[in-house]
Amino acid sequence: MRDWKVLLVDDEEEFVSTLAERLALRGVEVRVANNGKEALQKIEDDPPRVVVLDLMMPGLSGLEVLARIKRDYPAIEVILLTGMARSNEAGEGMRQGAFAYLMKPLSIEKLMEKIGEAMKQHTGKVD
Amino acid sequence: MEAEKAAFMGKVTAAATHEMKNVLAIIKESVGLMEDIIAMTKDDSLPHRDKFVRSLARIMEQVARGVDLSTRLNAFAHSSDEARARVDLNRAVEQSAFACHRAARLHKITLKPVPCSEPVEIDVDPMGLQMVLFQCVDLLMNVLGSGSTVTLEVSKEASPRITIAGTEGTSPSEGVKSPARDGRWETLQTAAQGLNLVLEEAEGPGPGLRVVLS
Amino acid sequence: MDLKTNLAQTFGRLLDIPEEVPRPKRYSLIRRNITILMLLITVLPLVLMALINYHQYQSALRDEIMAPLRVLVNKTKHSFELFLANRLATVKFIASAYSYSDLADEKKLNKIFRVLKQEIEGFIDLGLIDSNGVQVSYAGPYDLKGKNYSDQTWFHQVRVGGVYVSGVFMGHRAFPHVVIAVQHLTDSGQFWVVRATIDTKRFDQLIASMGLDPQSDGFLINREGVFQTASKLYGKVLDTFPEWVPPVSYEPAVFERLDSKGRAVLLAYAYFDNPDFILMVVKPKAQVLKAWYTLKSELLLVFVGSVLVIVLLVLRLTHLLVERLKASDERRELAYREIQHSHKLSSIGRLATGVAHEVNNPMAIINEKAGLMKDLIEFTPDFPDREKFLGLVRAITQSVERCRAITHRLLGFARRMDVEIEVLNLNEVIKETAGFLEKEALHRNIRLRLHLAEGLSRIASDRGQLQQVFLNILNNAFAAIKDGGLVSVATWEIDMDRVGVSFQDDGVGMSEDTLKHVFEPFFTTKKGTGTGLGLSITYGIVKRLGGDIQVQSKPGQGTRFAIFLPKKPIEGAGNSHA
Repeated sequence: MRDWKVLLVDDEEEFVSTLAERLALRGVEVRVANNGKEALQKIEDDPPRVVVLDLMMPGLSGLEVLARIKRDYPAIEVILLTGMARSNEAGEGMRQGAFAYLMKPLSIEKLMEKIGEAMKQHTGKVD
Repeated sequence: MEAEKAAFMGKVTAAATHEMKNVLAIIKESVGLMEDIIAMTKDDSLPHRDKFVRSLARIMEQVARGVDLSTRLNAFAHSSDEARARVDLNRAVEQSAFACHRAARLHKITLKPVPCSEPVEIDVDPMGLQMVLFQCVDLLMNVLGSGSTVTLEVSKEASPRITIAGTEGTSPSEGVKSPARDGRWETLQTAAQGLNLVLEEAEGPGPGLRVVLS
Repeated sequence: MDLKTNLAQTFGRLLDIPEEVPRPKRYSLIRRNITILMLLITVLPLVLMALINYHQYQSALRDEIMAPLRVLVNKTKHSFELFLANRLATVKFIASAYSYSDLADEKKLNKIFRVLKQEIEGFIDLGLIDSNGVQVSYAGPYDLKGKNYSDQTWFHQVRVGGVYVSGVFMGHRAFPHVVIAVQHLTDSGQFWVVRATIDTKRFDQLIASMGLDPQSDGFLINREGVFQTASKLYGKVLDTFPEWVPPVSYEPAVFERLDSKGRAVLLAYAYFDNPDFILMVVKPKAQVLKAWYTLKSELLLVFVGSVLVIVLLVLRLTHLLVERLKASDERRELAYREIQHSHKLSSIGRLATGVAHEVNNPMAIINEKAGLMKDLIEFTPDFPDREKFLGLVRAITQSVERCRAITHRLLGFARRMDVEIEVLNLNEVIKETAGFLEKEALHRNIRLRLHLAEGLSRIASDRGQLQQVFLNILNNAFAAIKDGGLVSVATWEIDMDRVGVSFQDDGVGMSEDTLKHVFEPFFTTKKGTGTGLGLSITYGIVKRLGGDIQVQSKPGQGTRFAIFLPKKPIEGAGNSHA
């Protein structure tokens, strides 16, 4: 069992639960949140090491959530999920300190790879 | 130039939705085949059988969702083909609610088409009408807070009309609530006029707009 | 004030053409009404002025023409009166200068008569009548002595008035003559009458002295309309004047009439105080008013001419005005349509964007579900029908990938409806774009050769869109060639206004049938993988940038795309509404 604590945030419940299951199959400790507010709550309860965050959400937008995470928990790495390539929001997210961004639909291998890289980064920061 | 662009964009969108449906059909067939195979296999011989059945059912649901979306987008894109057609306003508001659905979701606003009990048909540029409704809903959503409801109500009084009215939800927005104070208002009115439609502010408890056939 | 508002309303109504009137009819209505209005306000005052002038001229001229006629009539009337007064005075003189007995003496009377005839012309005879009306003595060519006049009217009139001048009559003398009678009263209350006859030859002389032209006529009539002198045109002495007896006027007056012969004439006349003669001069009007008619026709010519000029001007002006109106209406309508289209465009664009994002959600879910199944299959050793299931799952994930590509392109397309023009170096754009494909080229051992013209003119165009065009074409070329194939890109100057870019590959090429459809949206030969949007987008962009694209290809011989781009942006390409 890897010591990868990840929070998945996406308003599409079916998507996020399935993805969580797949990550769990790969030994990742996953929790899910369906909106920004819930995500921030869960981060406060138990800070994960990596947050996989959908940019396009009703209510608190992905960018707002990102900004708060970076403000309150700078050590947490954030991987952004975006519907479209080259979207302005993804670029903005990267400028705000996101670790990476991935396009939907996802390739699980790529996601695992990025989470792995983010973990290393995080460990580096914490240690 | 703009007309060509719009026509071209319509064409491209129509073609894209068509292609999307084809792709969705492939997914549907693949899922169907898997379901058939699983159904033919004995219960215990297939590991995670329940998970498979559930996943395939979910995929089917999502395919249906995708097909629905592309069908509507396709209808919308095709509506730019004809400069003038007989349009049932009841259908128009439903189409419009669909068109604005995403924007509404991001605003956390509920869109509710309220069709008339009988068909209300007018001759109009269908795309133009959609455009006006789309912009009206957009104007209205900009002055409403999250949790609000926007209704698109069709009625047949002196002349056929659609009233787009907003009702504030639990967290009302602050500031001026007149959609007519938006900078786009006049341009939109001019555009509506070109379509033989009259665009006016509707009186009511909340902010509202009305599209009337002139 | 009332009139003003009324007028304003009328004019307003003339120009207020209801919107519902269909276009061509509307303009002809406007044209008609403006023409009417302008003609009214220009021609009406002109007509009024012309009428007023006409009348003023007419009266002025008429006065000028008629004054001499009046003078003539007046002068002649005076001559007549002078003549008659002179003869009357003579008779009066005889009546008072001689006594009854002198006059009653035939010898003396004859002597007086002789002297009278010698000195004063026109006397025919002379006689003395006593208070009983009996001719006492007579000197003259007829034997009238002893004739009793007591029952004749003139005798009574002379007794009442003291003098009497008769009208012209023939009597038994058989030539026209006039009788002058004068009563003489003695201090003792007795009276006698001296009566003289004069012929009217002198009348004719006086009329002749007026010097009338042959078409004109002058004569005397009495108040009963009986000719006192002969008329050239209307009758002999003592005939009845066929025309009308004018109203009494002692001052010369002029009337315009149609005479019995149908001629328009000017009739000048004056009444005499005594006897009751009327002197008349008749002149044909045409002759008298000749100058006036000339002037009138000149006036008419000027009037008609100016009206004609005004009408032409008004028609021309109205035409111009309505054309302007039409043009500006059309421009406004075009602007309306443009606004409408741009709204339409932005709506489709925004909707397409929205739906594309929306479609991505179910796709993501499908992708994850399929992924989960794949995981389950892979994580489970000896999964039954493993390969079959994996194949089906792969079909799903590939479809999802295809769908993603479609939405991606659609989004890109919607976003790129805007054109951003900048001045750029085409060669640089091509080098940048080729950079995207370097890795693939290296991997597949593809030779990508750039033959870029040195010093190529910079062009004003949209960098992002050009990149998309070049990338699309290069992607197509890469798909068409085998590993180790060749793609060459060249740029060159075409002429003052355009530059060219060509992409040549040595791939499979296309059939004629394929070539025909290659730019249609969603036409693809890459069954199952291509989304078919590439070349139609490419075509659309190049057209939008004001350029042109051509393709040449033969199966087995590769394909050549040539793109021609303007150096200056076409008008309207810079408009951004999306």
